[in-house]
This record gives sequence, structure tokens and C-alpha cells, in this order.
Amino acid sequence: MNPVLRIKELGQLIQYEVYDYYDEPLFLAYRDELGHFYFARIVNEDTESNEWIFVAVSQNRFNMIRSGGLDINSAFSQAELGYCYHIGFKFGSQTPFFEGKINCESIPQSFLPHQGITLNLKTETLPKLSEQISERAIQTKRVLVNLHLEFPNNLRTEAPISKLGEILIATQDLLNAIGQAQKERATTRGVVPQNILSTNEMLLSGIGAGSFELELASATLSNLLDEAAIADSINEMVKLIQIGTDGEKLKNRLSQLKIRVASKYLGFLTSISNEVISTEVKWASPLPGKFGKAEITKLNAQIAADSIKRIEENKFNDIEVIGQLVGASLSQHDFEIIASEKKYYGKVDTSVIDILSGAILGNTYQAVIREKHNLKVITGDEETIYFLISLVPIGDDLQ
Amino acid sequence: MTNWPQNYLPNCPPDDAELPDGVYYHFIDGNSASEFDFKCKFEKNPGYTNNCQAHGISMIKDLDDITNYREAYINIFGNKKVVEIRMNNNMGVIKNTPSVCAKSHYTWWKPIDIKPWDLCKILEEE
Repeated sequence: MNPVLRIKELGQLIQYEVYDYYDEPLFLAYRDELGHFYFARIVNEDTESNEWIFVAVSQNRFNMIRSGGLDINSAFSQAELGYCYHIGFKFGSQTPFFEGKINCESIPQSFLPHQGITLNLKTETLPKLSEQISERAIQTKRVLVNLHLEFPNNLRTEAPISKLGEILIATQDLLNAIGQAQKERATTRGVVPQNILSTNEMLLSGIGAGSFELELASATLSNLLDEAAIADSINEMVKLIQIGTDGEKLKNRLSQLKIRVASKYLGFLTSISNEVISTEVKWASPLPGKFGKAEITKLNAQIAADSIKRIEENKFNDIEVIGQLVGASLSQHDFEIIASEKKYYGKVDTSVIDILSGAILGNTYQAVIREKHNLKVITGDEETIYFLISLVPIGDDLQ
Repeated sequence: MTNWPQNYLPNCPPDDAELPDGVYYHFIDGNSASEFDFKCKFEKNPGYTNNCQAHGISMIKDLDDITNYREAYINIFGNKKVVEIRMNNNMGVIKNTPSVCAKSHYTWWKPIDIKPWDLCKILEEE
């Protein structure tokens, strides 16, 4: 079959793409000069010519057939127009030696594959969002975010709303938490103040192809003097994603941003790692030079989430006290000292074991106790542990 | 030096084509393979578009794909016999050019001194 055909009924057709081939195309798509699509399949041949069946399809029908939503048999046997074209070509000719309409119900089954056989080609069923996100941010005077989500096993530009909803909620929650951490003293729990919620609010402003792409726009317009607060939150979110799986860097960054951000970033990572193969975030502000992007795969999102779950903040503080030794266990390496009406108990450092073995309960000692303060960043759970690192008898108790 | 037909276009066969190795299958029209069965589309029909694939010959690697072609295009392949050819790296180059119904479809660019009709045998089918 020639790549360019001239058919009286259909006009000039130009080959669009080939699906099946054996020494020549057997099943392919053509477009006419107005952009209308036709599927064409070879149905018979002899030594001088071959016969084809053509079906006109709308753009939506074309997308459904191409992506496997509708089988090849139905493309012809249930044509939108109710008929197909049966056309014969002499080898090498661009113009048919016969052409005519054939009603769908009259198409011999030998012309078509079995029912259920589909093309299953990845097909963008929505127009792509413009690549020029910075330009659009200026035009709309808003901070824009393009969230590009690669859903698995999806041949069309469609996304499950429950999964999409989860990701969008996690994204907004993360931006709110970052906004709160940046603008005021962050709270670990409870409601985020209304002023933070309103300045960080994002609106869904567009969807497009590219697996599945969402455009989010700041609810508030940018002000040249006071840039939309959301820009800082988005920038921070992008920086977090850029860190990827580096546990130490994540710890440092999240320690600055506090617990709520860690928790919400964990929520964001969990939502994307549960639902999508990869995620890309691009953002742009109407202000010059303010833009960025980051991407993360499902696997890296899982690794980063696991790292966050393990993050602890540790602080050490050595306290010098004079107090009464009220308890000690050489076998368990435990100690108990009361000083200034406060009871310290914990573990004994190995360097102090010998001194402790000669110590007398009830006597007063000068002790150095190391206070280790652990904070689980993600849960906010705090724990303080004491270690006895020095013990010196004082006063009359000196033996 | 491979002896390609003189009418090949520049960059044909493509650089990413590979040396063939192993058994491949090909549909033939009659009861035994003939030179005509191994003519490319462009040789059979010089008025056909002069692209590189039109100078190649379709070959199938996986027998299941023979069945797929027959089921999808019963009027074209239903009664055709299949030959098998053991190919080696002196027989030109080959490239996987999958079809929707046959992932193991290959295009074979055959040097002019190779005569596959003498090398193939009819596949006995149940």
C-alpha cells in the first residue's frame, strides 16, 4: 500500500502510522488533508492487486482504538458511520481500481481479526500542557506548578481519581506545613492557621498529556513587592525532592523545617510511591529567575520515606552535679543519683565501673552525667537517657 | 565486503541492523520456495515508495507469530506455506521491526549473492 493515496470518496490520504507489516504495511492509519483519521487493513490479494477495508474514525475513536480501549474488530464492524470502504488497488497504484461503501453488518468476518485483539499503544488523549511554564506564570501572574505523574499500565491520558486525589491532598498538606514552618513558629500538631492555608492554597488549573500532567496555580496573585508566599513553599518542596534518597541531607533539611513538614513530606512520598512510577515537579514564578524542577522515581520515593521514618534528632549535654548515690548495679551497669531534688538514673559508662564498685550507697559524690536527648522527627516522640561518665567521692565520704 | 543491491539508498541497511544468527521463518506463495518469494517489496513493485524497509524481506523469529499473522489476516496468510532458514552472519543484516501482531517480525537486507530459496526447507505443520 502506498503512503499517499488518492481516493475519489476520501480525497488524498497520507500514511500516518503502520501497525502491522509483512513485506509491506498490512494495517495502518491514514489522515486526510483535514486531519480526519482512517484505519486501513488489507483483506485480500492476488497476483496483480490487493483489497483493503477503510474506516473513518473521529479523533476520540482513533484514540480509543489506538490505546486498546476498543478492539480492532469493533473499529470496523461497529464503525461510527455505520459503514466502511472496500477499496481495491493494482500494485503500485495510488488510485483504486474499485471503491465502494460496505455496511458494517456486511463485512465478512474473514476481513477482520478475532474480537478482543487490540493495539495497546500509548496514546496521549489530551493535548500537552505548554512547556513554557515561566511564560505562563508571567501571563497569569501566578505561581505555577506542573505535576507530571507517570501512572502504571495506563495507555491513555487518564488517571484514577482516588489516587490522584490522595496525591493532590498530600501535596497541599506539604505546602501548608512548609509555609507554616517558614512564616512562623511551626506547631507539631493541630490546625494550621488560616492565614497560612490561604496564602499556600493551590488550585487545579489544567490537565494535559505526558502520561498525566496537572497544572496547579497559586490561588493568590503574585505581588512584585511581596512575592506569593507559596513560591517559597514550592521551592522548598522542590529542594526536598532534589535531595532524593540522601538520608543525612534529608535529616538536616527536615530538622530545620520541623516535625510537621517531615510528617507531611513523608505523606507526599508515600502517596506518590504507592500510586505512580515517577513524579516530576516543575514550578515557575512570574518573577524573573524563580523556577525549578525535581523528579523522583517510585523506588527513590520509598527509600526517602524509609529514611525519614528513621530520622532522630540527638542532643548531648553534660551535667555536673553533687548528689547522693542512692542506687547502683554493677551487673546491670545501672546507677541512681539524687541531686537538687532531681533523680537521675541510667547506665554507667565502662570507665566508671571500677569507681562504682568501691562506692557506698548513701554517700555524696561529685558526678558528671551525660544527658542524651532523642527526638523522633516524624512522630515528635521525645526520650531522655542519662549516662554516668564520672564519679568522684567528696568531703567526709572520701575513703 | 557485502554485495548489496545497487539500488539501496544511502544509510540502508541501517547502522543498527545486526548479523543474523539462528532459525527464521518466511511465508511463501507456492508449494516450494522460489526466487520470487524472496524479492523485496521494491523489487516486486518498483513503483512502491523507495524506503529502506521496502528493500528488506520480512522474516519471523517466533513460530507463534506465524499463527498471529494467519489469525489476523486469514485471507492473506491462511493458505501460505512457511519455510525455515538457518541464517548465519554471512547472510547480510537483520533488524527487529516489530508489528503489533508479531513482535518477532524482522527485516532482512539480503546481499545479491545469497539465494535463500536454495537454503530453506518447508516447515511441516500439523
